[in-house]
Amino acid sequence: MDISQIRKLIKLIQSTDVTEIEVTEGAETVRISRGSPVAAAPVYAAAPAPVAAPAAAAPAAVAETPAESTANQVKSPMVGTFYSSPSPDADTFVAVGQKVKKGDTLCIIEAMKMMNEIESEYDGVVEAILADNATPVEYGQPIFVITPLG
Amino acid sequence: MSEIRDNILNCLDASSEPVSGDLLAQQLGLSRTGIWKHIQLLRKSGANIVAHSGQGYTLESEVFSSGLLHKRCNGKRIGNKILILDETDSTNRDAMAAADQGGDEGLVIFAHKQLAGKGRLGRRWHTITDSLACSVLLRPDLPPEQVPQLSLLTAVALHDALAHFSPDIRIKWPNDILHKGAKLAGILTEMRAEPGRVHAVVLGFGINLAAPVDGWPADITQKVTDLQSIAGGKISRLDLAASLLNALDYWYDIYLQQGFAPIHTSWWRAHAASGQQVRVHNGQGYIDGIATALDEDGALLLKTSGGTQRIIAGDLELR
Repeated sequence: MDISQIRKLIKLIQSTDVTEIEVTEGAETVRISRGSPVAAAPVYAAAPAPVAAPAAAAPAAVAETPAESTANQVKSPMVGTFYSSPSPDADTFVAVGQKVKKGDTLCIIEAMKMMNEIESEYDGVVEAILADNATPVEYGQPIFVITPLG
Repeated sequence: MSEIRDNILNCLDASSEPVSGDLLAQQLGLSRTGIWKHIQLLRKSGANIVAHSGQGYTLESEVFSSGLLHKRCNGKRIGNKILILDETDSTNRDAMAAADQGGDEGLVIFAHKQLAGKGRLGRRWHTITDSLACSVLLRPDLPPEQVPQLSLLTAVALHDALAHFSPDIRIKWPNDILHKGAKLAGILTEMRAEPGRVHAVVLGFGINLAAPVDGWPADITQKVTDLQSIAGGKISRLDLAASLLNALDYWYDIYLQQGFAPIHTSWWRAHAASGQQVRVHNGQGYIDGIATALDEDGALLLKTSGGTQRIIAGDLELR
């Protein structure tokens, strides 16, 4: 499991009511928790850094952090298949770290050959992409985290 | 086309007898010379208008004009505004752009030529010379998760309008129109929505009216066919377009009043693979199974060796 997957898990946990998640892939296990001061019990030495950041915030900020990240989530308006690019061999619409403008296409969600281009509702930076290309997404599932600019 | 020329075509189209220049001049508030000038322009743009000495003008072959098409549309919503473009990138794109600018439900856009006709997942839709490319703008007050049903509704409407040319026309999930396994028409529907609210829906379809004289484009890998070959004669573009729009309006009205159930029934009856073995490529791999039913939201239910699978997106192959 690489650092970007761990980042994804962190974003996922921040965007839901889940307080702890444990993922095992082969012999490797990563546990991420936001319920306790020690946010994670990682197998990786590298994992605590990104995990510790939100958890280490001042107590006053704790309540705000999850609410803020939920507000910045883009959710799927329907059940469908998530596509990160306009065609299988094209570049992705957006990448993590990229700036987007209001109205820019973020992804396509398809159901029954009804193509739904999801556009950014505001100018911002793509913090996380929470779905994988050509995989199913559920109604209301968070698919992006986009931090507003300005 | 100017309103005057549209009106001239309407008058000629409506009459089985020649219409005199005097009558046209009177009805449209122009001089006879004015009428004559407009007739010249209409002829230049391809209208076959014949002058019968001492009697007047007749329209000898049909002209695909928005005025004539509008007259043949009898729906409640679809076709209240019709645009016919000579050339455009994609009528779906134009319809979505019209929606962004506040375009009303029922807007219909045809194009004689599309430079970048859209297929699924970036595939190209070839709009050959003899084809009908059309997009319809809808603004349904529906939850977004229900809207994909309109993709299947479009297939039912096209099937309805095309079925009287041949009893062998079928739908292939979710909305391809086939004749004996060869593709006759394709549908690509698009929507813009946020959770809980639909901004716009565009139903796009292309129908092959006649085979291209210089052969089908080389990058088409599947079996294709055209309506003229199926029907064994020339197709009236005007009548076909009107019957398609009227069928769409008819089914859309039923859908808004009664929901998906009637569409579901008609779709399943017209489906090429109901109860049959199929293979679906879902972008990741192949799934083999028997198409046992259509789910309430339009997903195809496949009975596979590992249980029932719901298919919401993918390419279906008939076995």
